[in-house]
Amino acid sequence: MIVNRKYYFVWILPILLALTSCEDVIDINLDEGTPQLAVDAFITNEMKTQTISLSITSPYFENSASPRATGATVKLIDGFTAQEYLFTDVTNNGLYNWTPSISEQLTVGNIYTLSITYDGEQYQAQSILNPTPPIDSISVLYRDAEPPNYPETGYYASLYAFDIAGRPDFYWIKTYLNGQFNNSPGSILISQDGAFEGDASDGLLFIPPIRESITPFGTVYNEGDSLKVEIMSLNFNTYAFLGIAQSQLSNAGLFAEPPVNVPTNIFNVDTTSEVLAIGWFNMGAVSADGITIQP
Amino acid sequence: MNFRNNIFEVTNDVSGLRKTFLISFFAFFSVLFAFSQQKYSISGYIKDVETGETLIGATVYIKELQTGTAANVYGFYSLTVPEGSYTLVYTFIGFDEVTKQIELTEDIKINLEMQESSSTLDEVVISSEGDRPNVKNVEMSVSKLDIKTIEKIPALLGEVDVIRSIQLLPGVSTVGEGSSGFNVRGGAIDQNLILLDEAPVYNSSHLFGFFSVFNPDAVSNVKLIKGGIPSTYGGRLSSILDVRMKEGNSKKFAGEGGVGVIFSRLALEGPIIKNKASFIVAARRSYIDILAKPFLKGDLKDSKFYFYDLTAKVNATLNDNNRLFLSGYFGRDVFGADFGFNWGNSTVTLRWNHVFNKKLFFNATAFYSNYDYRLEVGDDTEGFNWKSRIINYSIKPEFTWYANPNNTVKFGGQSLLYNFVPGTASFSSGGVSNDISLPDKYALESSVYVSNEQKVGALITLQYGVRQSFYQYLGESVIYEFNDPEPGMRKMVTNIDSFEQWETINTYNNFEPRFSVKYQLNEVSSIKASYNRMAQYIHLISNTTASTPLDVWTPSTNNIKPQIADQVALGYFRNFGENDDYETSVETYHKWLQNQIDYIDGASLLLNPFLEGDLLNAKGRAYGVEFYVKKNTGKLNGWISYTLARTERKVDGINQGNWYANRFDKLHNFNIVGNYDFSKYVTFSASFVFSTGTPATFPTNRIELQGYIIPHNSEYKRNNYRIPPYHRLDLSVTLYRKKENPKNESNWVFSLYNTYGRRNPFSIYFQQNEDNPQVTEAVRYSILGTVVVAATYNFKF
Repeated sequence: MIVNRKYYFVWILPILLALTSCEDVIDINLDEGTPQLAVDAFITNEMKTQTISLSITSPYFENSASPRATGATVKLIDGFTAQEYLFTDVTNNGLYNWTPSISEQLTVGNIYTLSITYDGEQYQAQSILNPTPPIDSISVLYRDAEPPNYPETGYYASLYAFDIAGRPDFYWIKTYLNGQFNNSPGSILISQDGAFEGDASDGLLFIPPIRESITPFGTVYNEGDSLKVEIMSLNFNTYAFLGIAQSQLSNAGLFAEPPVNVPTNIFNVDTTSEVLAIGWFNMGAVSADGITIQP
Repeated sequence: MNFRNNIFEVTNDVSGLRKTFLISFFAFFSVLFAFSQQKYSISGYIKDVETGETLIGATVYIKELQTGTAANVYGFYSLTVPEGSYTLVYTFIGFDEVTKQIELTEDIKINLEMQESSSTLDEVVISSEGDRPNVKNVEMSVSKLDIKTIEKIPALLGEVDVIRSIQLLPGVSTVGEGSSGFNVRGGAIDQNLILLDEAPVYNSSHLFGFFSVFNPDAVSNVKLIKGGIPSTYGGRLSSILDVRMKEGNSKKFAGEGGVGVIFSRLALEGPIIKNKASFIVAARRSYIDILAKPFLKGDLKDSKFYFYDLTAKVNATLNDNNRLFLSGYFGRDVFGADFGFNWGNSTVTLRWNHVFNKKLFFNATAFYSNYDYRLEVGDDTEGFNWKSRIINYSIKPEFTWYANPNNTVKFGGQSLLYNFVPGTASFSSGGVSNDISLPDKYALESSVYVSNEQKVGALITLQYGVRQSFYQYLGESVIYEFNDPEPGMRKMVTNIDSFEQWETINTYNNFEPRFSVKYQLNEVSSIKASYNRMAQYIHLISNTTASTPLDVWTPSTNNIKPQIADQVALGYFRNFGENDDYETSVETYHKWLQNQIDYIDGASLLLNPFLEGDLLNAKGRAYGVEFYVKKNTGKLNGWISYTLARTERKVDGINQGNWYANRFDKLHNFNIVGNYDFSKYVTFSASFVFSTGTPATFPTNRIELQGYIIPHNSEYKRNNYRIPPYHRLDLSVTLYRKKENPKNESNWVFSLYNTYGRRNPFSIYFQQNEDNPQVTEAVRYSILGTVVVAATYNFKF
């Protein structure tokens, strides 16, 4: 179970009061790794330009953008219609784009294959395109600071949506503040059936911790902010992938799970090849809603 | 169904071994009956004259025959020897020696009460030849701590603690502050059988592991068995922590207690009927919540965080041959604000001692043990509530037959019914609730055992025995069969089957031989060796670094096989000094473990009906050397222990199928505990611990994905790094206020924990810099970053 940070905070508090836990940045020498092709392919069925980013992994403490992987052939194939969509890197910076035409709407329920040829190796990945529920509404409430759950005074937003009943669903809830995707480390907000792990909340309204988590913990919205929320559908494997990434990117303190590598669903077609790629491919449907914060 | 045919698979591979063992076993037994001639028994109980407390392990020695025995855990002893006139010497550490001349012409009963030495410990002369148990007893890999020793060790926040004390012994380690439980000889924390008056305690910690559930005021005796485990014990792989509660003063009313920074304690004891029946009640409660209240605002105003426990026992001596004991423990940790979270153990033990005749002692124990936790957030409209528990019911008869001075035979059995409640839970949102409870699981673990401790000549003592355990996984249950995917991947359900209440789903049997031998090299030194096989049918499901109160126990099922361990150990024991001033030992061990539970990456462990699909079956191995030097006498006393050890795992799908260090592996583990009795009124104590950091998986590369920088180890190594070493110095001074009556003494304990404020890392994690997400950094997380100062006042009346 992924414990919501707010509740987590309360659990750990007594210990903080009694004793003093502390965190500090330290120097560590890490082993040298092998550079690998890293695939970042979160494709949606929205009728707008879709991008797949290919890069080469660099040493963990290399504090600059990773080198780009250019010159690859990138294709998306519909497993039902066998139709192929070609992604091209026109600016030669490892960003491979495809803009669907009116007749090229991707279909919920179909399985898609991603095919990448790079540096003499061919890689493939598969993902089903799952449905996503509509957003009912976003509500906003002004409240005074009430630690620990509401440490700041300001506007708190809540997301109202119903989980799709009768099936396990996996969602990635993304927020955009004034057009800017909130990718602050550790803020990956994923949900099964509008709740935490397990199919407990099948068909229910997204539960309060999920509902309220579109206001990232420790922040508030201000008057005039424009807030956009997306619910992107995932498949189970993507949910697990993001769950592991989430625990890698945030520290749960005393009860942290020891870090493990994120998995990959990008496989070399030649299973005997020693050249392996990493990264993730997911097909998602997106529902979105937005508001401007006003009293 | 195919798994039903596998019932005896675990047994089969040892059946040859079993045959050999049984034959030799009965050969040994025939020795017992070989020389029947006119012999008489000396038997009785050994107690403390002041309190009437049983003196566990007090020894009786017959000078003329150079043979003797020790009182069992109920204080009973029996010796059968040819008729004659003898000098009996009764000894117990810290008590005045008692000598008795007897003419043995018939069976006699000697109930002895011994007087605690008035002199301080440094003047006690341990010279009796019947003593020197560390060298002379066949048992090895055993640590006994009496409560007086535990009280002297500098403690966190001034509070004496049983579990934190045993962590200073060789072969015992922990992953860090705030972690529940302890690791023995490379075993996981669920592999320790923690017994409080014979009832198992499933979560031995309060406040996430900072304190243990044992109230020192109610504890009389603590024994940790790490190897050469006798066949009377079973059910866990790595150790037995046998904690015995005081019986209560049967002579007069008495009390003791303490006032500390975190909690206060009070224990009352006294006779119900003088010398016949007595009671003890001991309670503790923490009060940080009360102290913190004025500083809390908002939602936190209603915060609850405290723990309490109550330990109680009554005993009655019905007549010379019958005694009854009833003991119980009830404890709870409570956390809450706008949510509720609490957990606790309760145990009840009923025991009946019966002396059938001078040679045959019988004890029957029945116990109930319960561990449960609850988590509640919100209400029926918007919320979540979850309860989980594990309940045990057990009966355990045991006979001890004091056949002759050279043979002491124990035999008995145990039947243990488990009821696992993995989760009664419901989820509500928008006024609609979903019940997501998982069904209960039932299992019955039964065993029969026999063991004999046999002296062969003057130099050799053997202890050999067998334990046969039978395990049934019982309905009512829905069971799953899974496919066999690539190693390390989630298994998918291929078949579902359901079973009626009490229907046997699955059976496992294990033959568990146990063997120990001691060879006396000379008066002050011996060599000991042992082998034991242990089977464990229950498993703690946890993939966090430190175990949490939310961890779930699961039985062995059609998919989860029982854990098995084989351990061999070899040791050299030697005492030095005129008065056995120094006890020393070197022990080496090797342990092989089968069917260890590991987890797929991203495993879902809580409230997951298909949990078994996320588990991996691992092999384990652990080996090491333990050095121990203890100084018993003089103003300066204490011990030094050093353990050099490895514990590793191997599982398909992790670390490319190669052996890797367990998450609690520590190569070096060094402890030193010293007490300096400056005067009658002042004792200084210090302890220093040093251990290698626990292993961790550190990244090599960074993956840029969706605007995040994700750490990645491109070589797929598990536990390829060590976090920096752990070391800590604790100091304390105890100031005694002596009264005319020593029973009324009081003391102040002032302590410094983590004296030089070392920031011992609990873990190292990696993150993007908050201000510049392009920059990545390693962060050291310490549970405790400063020195902790505390004062405690302890009193007796």
